[in-house]
Amino acid sequence: MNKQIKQILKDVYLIDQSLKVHEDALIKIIQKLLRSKPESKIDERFVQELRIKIVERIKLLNNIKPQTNMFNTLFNKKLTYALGGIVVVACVLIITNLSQENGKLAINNLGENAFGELSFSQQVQDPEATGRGGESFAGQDIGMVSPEMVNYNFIYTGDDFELSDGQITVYKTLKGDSLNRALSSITKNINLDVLDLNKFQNLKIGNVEISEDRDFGYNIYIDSRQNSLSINMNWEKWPREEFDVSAEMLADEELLSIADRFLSEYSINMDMYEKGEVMNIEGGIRGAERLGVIYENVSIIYPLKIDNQIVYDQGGQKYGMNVSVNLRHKRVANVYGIIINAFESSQYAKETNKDKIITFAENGGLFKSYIYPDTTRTLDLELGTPEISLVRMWMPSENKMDTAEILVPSLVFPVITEISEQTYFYRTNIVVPLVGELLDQFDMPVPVSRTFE
Amino acid sequence: MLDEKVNKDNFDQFYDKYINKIFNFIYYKTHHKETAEDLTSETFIKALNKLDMFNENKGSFSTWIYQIARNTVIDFYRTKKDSINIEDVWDLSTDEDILRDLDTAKRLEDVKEYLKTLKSEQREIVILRVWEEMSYKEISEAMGKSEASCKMAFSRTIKILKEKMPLSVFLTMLLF
Repeated sequence: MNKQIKQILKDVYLIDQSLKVHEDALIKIIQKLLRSKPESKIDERFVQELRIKIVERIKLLNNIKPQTNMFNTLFNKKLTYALGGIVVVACVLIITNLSQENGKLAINNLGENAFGELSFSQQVQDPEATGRGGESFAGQDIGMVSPEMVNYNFIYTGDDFELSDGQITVYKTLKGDSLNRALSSITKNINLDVLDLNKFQNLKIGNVEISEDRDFGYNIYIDSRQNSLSINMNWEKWPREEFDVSAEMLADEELLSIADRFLSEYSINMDMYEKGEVMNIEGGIRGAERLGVIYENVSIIYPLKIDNQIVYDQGGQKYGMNVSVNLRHKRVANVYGIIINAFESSQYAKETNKDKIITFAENGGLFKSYIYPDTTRTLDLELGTPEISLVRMWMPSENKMDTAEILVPSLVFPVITEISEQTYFYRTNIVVPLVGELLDQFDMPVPVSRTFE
Repeated sequence: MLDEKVNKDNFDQFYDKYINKIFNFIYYKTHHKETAEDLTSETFIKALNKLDMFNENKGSFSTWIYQIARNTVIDFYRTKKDSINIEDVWDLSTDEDILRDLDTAKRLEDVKEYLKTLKSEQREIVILRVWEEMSYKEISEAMGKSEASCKMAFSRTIKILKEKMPLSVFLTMLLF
């Protein structure tokens, strides 16, 4: 009798001692139940995607509420309209200016090693990059451990490739304060009867939300602290969702057409993005469609392109502007990641040791998968010939108080082995940075899985 | 261990803690992976949207999220079948037009007839104790009941199963 059955019976006898005479039958019942236990396999991709959806929703909810409260408590209705008008006019001007600045992406070259020693930040990460709310994740796979214990063995089977000597260009995102300054100029035009704002000095507006008051309207959210701009469905103006009513899955062409039309209608500058791609998430949307699973939104990624190089995140997924199309209403629901930054660039020594790079890739790249010491199942995954792209990373900022985003030239190795639906591996690429000093920092032992709650 | 009160800013930590548990809970009530994913998504989105309504004085977050999951499953089947007597997939006959994972259906072949005869609450307590290996404290939180009543309910349910399961079920085990 195993420990679990013993404990179950011990608890049962505490309630009803008379059952003890039937112990043999009870053991068999519990054993039978245990053997009948269904294998509930949660898909790591599903966990990750739902987490992203929740984090985005949290952002949205946090953005909406303070604004509503502030307007309700501080200002009367008339004043709100007046202030809103000023903000809208100013924001139109700001966004127009930003678009003009970024029509040709502003990149200021600072020469060699201008960002100092490149070091990977382990303290503060962009939550969106890991989906784990800013926790440290260096050297490990993205948090969720597969319920099925499989060790992954990467094997490079691509062609031979050349790595010439020389330098490569690393880009650093300039948060800057252009957005902040532009927004803050609004304050000069605000005249409140109850308070003289002009008496305050060096005022800055942290964020602004503009709501569109029409059916299927949007909220435009500008966060000058994070230098981010997003467009979200205005929940108050969209029909209430009923989760049990089916939505029709759309063909990729239609999804892309809806997204493209929206971007064109709102004059979003597309010069720095590649064409949109429907994100094939959650084990394949089309496969799920066959099984009758309903998705509310489908995401389309417009990969960011800088100096003709596609930008990836550290997990090997393309990074850029994300447009989410609502299937039920065949409309764009949200747009995230509209790039409004300028960049600095600097040249660094290139890693040229091909064997070192391939070994790094075969160890899982930037995200090393866990090794399960007790499992017997190993899956061989072939890596194809890499391409040079940029990968979004973070390093401590100069004041060490937060992090700076850098885009590092890296080799992106495609995982070419076809993955069956039964496995939980979802990475499509393995990323290896081409800056030697970064490569050395990441070259740490592959983590061994521990039992955890 | 999450001791702090749940709010929008730390909801993701609660998500990390409960996602597997809620998925399993729903899976055992649906027997279909994609349906379980769909209803798990719905559960967490509903919880987040209604977070302002959560009152920790009335119960733990655990009780609350399990209740949302339970209701979400009930709503799913009741809407589909237009019946008020269905709580989960166990209440449907196997020949009904509902998606089930083949492997799970096969595994449950020997016990489903007996588990089906239990009340939904009895079935839930057996599943949480035996399949999910949850302690009575965890079960009591998930079900919003006292530990003592959960222990009592489990004991009674095992007794019922002992009376209902025929000898033939046990004899098949000898073949393993």
